[in-house]
This record gives sequence, C-alpha cells and structure tokens, in this order.
Amino acid sequence: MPDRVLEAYSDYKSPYAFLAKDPARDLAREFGLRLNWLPLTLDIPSYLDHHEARSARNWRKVKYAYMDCRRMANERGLVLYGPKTIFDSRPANIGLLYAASQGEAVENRYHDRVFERFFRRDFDPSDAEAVAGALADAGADVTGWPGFLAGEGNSAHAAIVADAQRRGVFGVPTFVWRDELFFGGDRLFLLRERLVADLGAPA
Amino acid sequence: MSAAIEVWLDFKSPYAWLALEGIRALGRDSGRPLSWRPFCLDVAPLPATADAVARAHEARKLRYLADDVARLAARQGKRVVLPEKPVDSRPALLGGFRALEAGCFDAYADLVFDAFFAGRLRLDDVAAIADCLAGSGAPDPGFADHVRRHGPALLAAAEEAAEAAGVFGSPTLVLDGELFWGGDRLEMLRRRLSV
Repeated sequence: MPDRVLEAYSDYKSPYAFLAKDPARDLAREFGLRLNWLPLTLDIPSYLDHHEARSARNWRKVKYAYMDCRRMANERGLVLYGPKTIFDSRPANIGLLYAASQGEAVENRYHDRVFERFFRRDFDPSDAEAVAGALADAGADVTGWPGFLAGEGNSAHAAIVADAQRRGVFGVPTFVWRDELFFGGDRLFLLRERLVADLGAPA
Repeated sequence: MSAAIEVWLDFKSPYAWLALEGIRALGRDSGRPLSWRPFCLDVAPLPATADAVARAHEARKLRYLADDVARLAARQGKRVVLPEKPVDSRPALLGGFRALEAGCFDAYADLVFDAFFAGRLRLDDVAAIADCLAGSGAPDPGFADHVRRHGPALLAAAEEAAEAAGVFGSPTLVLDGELFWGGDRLEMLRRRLSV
C-alpha cells in the first residue's frame, strides 16, 4: 500500500535531521505509516554558500543554528556537539541503505547509533571502515559492504539525490507525503494536520 | 517591570506577517512589553558568478518557501501575494520608526503588512508609505524629506544593532539575549516564559 508511506530525506551531518528523527518516527507510528528513510548527502557549499566565503549574515545563521539545536537537544536530554569540520557524510548515508537492505531492525539501530555517535563527535561519517563498524554493531552482515559502497549503494544514493532534486527538495530533514514537501522538524505539526485531513484522526 | 522582548522584523518578510498575531499574544500572555525593532533583512540574490548547482538549489528553495508561506497563510484564512522581484523595504522600515515614535506601530504594521501581501502596496513607494502613516494615526507631511535626509543613517544604525544582537532573519525575538528565529519558535519562547 504505497499510499501509506511517509518519505523522509535525511543526512547524518544535519543536527536538525537528528532532532527530527524520533518525532518523525512517532508521527509515522501514530498514523500507521511506513517511514522510508532516504539518505540525501547535503552539498553544504551550495546549501549555505562556500565555507571560506560565508557572508557575515550566514555566519550569524550558522552560529544560531547550533545554539538552536543544542537547546532543543537539551530539552530532550540529547547530547549534541557541533562538528569541528564539514564532513563528507556520503559513506554513512550509503550505509543507511545497506542497513535497510538487512531489515528494519538493523536500519533503525544503525540510524540511531550513527546520529548519536556523530553528534558526540565519536564517529567519522566519511570513513568507510567506521561505517562498517557501525553496521556490524547494528547487527548487519558486513561482508557485502565494500562492494555495496562502491557499486550498488553509490548508484542508489545518486538516484535518490537526483530524484529529490526533481521533487524540489533542497535540505534535510524533508518529509514527503503525497508529493507535498515539509521541510524541517518544525513543519511536522503541519504534516500532522495534513495526515489528519487525509487519513482521519488516529484512534 | 519585566524586560521587554525585542521583535526584529522586516515588512517584506511573509513569515513576520504570519507570526504577528502569535507575537502579540505572547506579549499579552507574558505581560512583557514588546520592543519592535524594524531592520532591513539582507536577502541579496545570488551573485552572477554563482554556479548552476547553486542556482538550481536556490530555485528549489524559493519554490518551497512560496508553497510553505501559502499554506501557513491559508491556516490563518489569508491569501498571500508574493512579490516576483527583490523588494526594497527601506521606506517602509523608516515609516516603522516614525510609527514607533508616534506610538501607533501596531496599526501601521497591520496596514503595511496586509496591503503589501495583498499586492496593493510597494514598500519602496515613499508617498504610499506616508499614506500608511497617516492611516495609522501618524500623519507626517515631511516624511519624504525625512527619508532622504535621515534614512541611510537610521537604517545603518538598525543594521548595526541587529548584527550586534546576532540577528539574521525575520522575525527574530530576543529574550534576555537569547534569540528565537521564526514563528515556529514561539512555542519554545512560551515555554521559556511559562505561558
């Protein structure tokens, strides 16, 4: 029943994606939806102009964003340290696809652990061997991981990115329900209103 | 009296318009005075040197923002007409300073926001802004001259103050030095104030 799928674009280097993960799961559970995580590696330079050339306004925005995320994390008892550099999170994001291929339980454990460890500064999402370790910790059989990262996973991730761009996605987290986009955890209330309108209030 | 909540906003910001009632309610419910701080939101278009990736990204973002504003407006029973070109809001902001001095900022803000997002007002039309001042109870026959003579310095001072406060977007509320950007942070601010 594809109509009952909520799609969620996410990237491990996004603190807002980290903070929206559990509320999105709760929402999907509440409405009996399957939550389909789609890894989308953000191209930070085009997302918030080039690191070296960021305008004064964008620096204020970046500073605010981490303060904003930290206070939201604090409210929920989560640890969230800002990364010291801009990571290439593509290997960890492809790892999510590999984890999903091994079942929902593996996918959820991997998703939780990678986010938590990255925002404790305890995980390098660009390191394929570190990703293999995280997959193994989540219960995955990692024998196929190197080949997946170089081949099928890489292609699947590229296809997801291209499809996201075609749909108008420009950042994460973005949730897609029946072709309508909801960007950011702070639009989950609107998504919920839409779900109630489309599916009725949950029991 | 408790310290004021600063409210930084630009009249060209649809999110400020849509947050206005929630901000006023916050002021009423918390008993804190609201200190309105008009400032010019710097939304410079992409430079001509921007590559195709950046341009495509910007186009997707603008398309989403238009849809997002429209659905938020619809929740409030409003329709929104968004400008097709970059907007110079400086005369309207200078009118905001005048309205603050005259003690009629609420009426002025309603007039300007409603007319602009209905597509009936240009924020850079000095004569039309003077009419808005008159309509909100602060007639100022010398407004055009005021804009010419004092506008640049007043706006530069507002920009400098916004920068010092760490403000980069509209609306931004500041409570005891802590920033809350966007109408979707009003709930967090309410929790902070226990209202």
